[in-house]
Amino acid sequence: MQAAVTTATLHGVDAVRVEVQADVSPGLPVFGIVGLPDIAVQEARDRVRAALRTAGYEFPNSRVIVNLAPAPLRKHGTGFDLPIALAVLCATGQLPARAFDCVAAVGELGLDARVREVPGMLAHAIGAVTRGDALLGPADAHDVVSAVPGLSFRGLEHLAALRQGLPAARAITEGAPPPACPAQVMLEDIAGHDIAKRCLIVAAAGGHHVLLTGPPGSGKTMLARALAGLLPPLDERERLESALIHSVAGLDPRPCIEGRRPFRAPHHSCTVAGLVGGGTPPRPGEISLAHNGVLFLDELPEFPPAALQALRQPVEEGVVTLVRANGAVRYPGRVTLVSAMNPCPCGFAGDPHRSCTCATGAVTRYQSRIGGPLFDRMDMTIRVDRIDPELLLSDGPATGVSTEAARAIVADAQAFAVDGRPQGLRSSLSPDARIELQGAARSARMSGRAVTRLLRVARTLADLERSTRIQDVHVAEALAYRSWESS
Amino acid sequence: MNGERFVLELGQPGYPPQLADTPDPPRRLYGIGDSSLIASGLAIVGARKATPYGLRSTRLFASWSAGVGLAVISGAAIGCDGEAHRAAIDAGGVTIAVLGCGADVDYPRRSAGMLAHMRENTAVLSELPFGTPPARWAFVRRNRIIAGLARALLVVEAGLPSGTFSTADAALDAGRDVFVVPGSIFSPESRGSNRLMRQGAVPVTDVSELAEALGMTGVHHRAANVQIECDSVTRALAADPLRPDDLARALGIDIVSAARTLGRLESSGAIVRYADGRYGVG
Repeated sequence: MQAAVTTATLHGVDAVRVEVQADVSPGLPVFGIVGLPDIAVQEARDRVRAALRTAGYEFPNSRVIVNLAPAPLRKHGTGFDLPIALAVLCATGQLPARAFDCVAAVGELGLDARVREVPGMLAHAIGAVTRGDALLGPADAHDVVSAVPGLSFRGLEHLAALRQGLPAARAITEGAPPPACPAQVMLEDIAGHDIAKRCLIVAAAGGHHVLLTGPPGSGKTMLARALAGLLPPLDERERLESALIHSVAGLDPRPCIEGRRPFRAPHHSCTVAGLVGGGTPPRPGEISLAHNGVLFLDELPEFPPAALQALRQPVEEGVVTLVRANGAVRYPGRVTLVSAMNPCPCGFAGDPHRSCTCATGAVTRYQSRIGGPLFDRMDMTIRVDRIDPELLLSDGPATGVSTEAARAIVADAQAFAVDGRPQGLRSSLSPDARIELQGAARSARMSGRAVTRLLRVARTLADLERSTRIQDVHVAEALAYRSWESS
Repeated sequence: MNGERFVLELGQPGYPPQLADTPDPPRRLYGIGDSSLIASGLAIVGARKATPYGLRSTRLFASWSAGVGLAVISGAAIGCDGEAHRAAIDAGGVTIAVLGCGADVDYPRRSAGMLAHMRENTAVLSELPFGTPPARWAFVRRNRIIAGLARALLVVEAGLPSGTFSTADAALDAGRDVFVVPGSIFSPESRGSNRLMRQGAVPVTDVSELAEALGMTGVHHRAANVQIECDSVTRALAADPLRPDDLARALGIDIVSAARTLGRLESSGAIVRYADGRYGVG
């Protein structure tokens, strides 16, 4: 007897359809899985055998061969447990032969026959909708997959429940609008640092990459965390994109589904694969997990140089492409990159109150660890200095805007940028701004990339004032936030 | 290394007479370049970790000195020393480097191009034989040659502690005048030069003052005097380099207009952004 059940395996963030075929024939009792399974799939044999028995089914005392088609594709993960069990049940006539037509089944089985969640449930849900299948999977995944519009999801808690037929599709309820992301650090909690706060608002509004430099203890990390609170909640499309990556990486996608912007702050011992993605099977890196959110790299020069150089292309293009012998995988990675560094190894170069103890060469060497090309990709560089203790301890309200007000300003500027003004950078330059920019570009010998970056920051500054054209004052302000050219 | 190699022996013709008069003249001077250019000049020294202020005053005095035909003598180090040589070269004048390694050794490496230019057009000297690698003690010893070759020493910028003090001591031992460019009392990089001033070095705030102090009042020179700025932001920054936050607070303006003014003034070249994020006139 033969039977087939549809499932899928993950390739990047896509669920690729796989058919699980089971053949039960007389002969010596064996249970074999073919079709390039990895070790986790091989181990499904023991879990399936035990789960079937626990659920009160019978495991055939004959020759059972399971094939995963297409056979040349590598299969990995424990999500094959459920479809394998179903295929065996159908092939042995314990369940109706065509019970699972137009259904994709994904889930891990415990020895107690409970159906458990696997990484990438969202990817499987999206794949099922695209193919026009229903999804049969762990009941626990209901609130995750309900983010996918148009999905018919059959949540299964226990294998034994299938005796009553396919579980009913639970209606997917429209969730309440997402609450605004609770900020970890509020702008009003930060004393001083006016120019840095202004930069954060600009960065949030335009998605610009920021580099904060300054001595230890000056508040760089706190400022970076405050940035995450300035961004509006994720919109419908972004929610699904970000949740999908978290789901594929085996992390909890629920905060993303609720609309919370990802904020990732990997430690500087992070490897290349950890930062941009990699491994076998490929797994998204921190930059992809921060997709649509903030990637914060504290102590930037302490990261392995190879990891930093690998960041260059994704930061520019917003997508990571991992090319392997058996094909390329693409993960999205559109982030606002915020990095922080000390100006020198001892941290006190340029500090007005403590002198730097580094050798002259050491400072240059430290800064050159980042590499000119990555420096060039920072839209804004801001020096953050330790503030006066007097200012820190004063009782008066903190200067500058509150997170609440800044969030409104950012949302307003973003709305204006999308549909309040004509698109295009060069065309919106006012004549005065053009002269200002030309003069600055000439005197600072800016590269083409530097001019474009400056223009993009100036565009955001104009958006913050709902100005259709970029005026000379916007160019002038953008110049003040300019990154140093690698010189 | 295109210049000609030469060795000058103490007591032989060709040995700089002003150096022979110092308390501890080197027995031999090894050099590359044109030995006839070794005349009495102005020694200009300063910190390696120079601020834009230090570099700017170095350039001001070095190009004046080169312009009036006074050789600029320095140590080819990065920072003020290198700037002094470069300014003199740019002004088309004579400049002489004294090294703490062999005269044919490129040290510091970053000054290699400048040293090559000087070996070809002016002169690079050392009391150490050709090919001697750099050693820490040798740089302190060579400071007495810099001071001894010059008729006066100008300290442009020095922090604390500073190697510039040993040059100043050597200059006093040799009976040379020591001039110093005053700096901000708040700048750690000016603490050394201000202390020298308190110890009796003559402050110099303009090229005409330097000319007078050197007894060169009759010499015509281009009016390269210090320009004094007039708008309030530039004035505030000229007095003391400030961070944008502090500038806004000092002038009572909001941060956005401060950033706009700073951006515009920087692109026009009126002010510069220091590596530490402060803005100043430099």
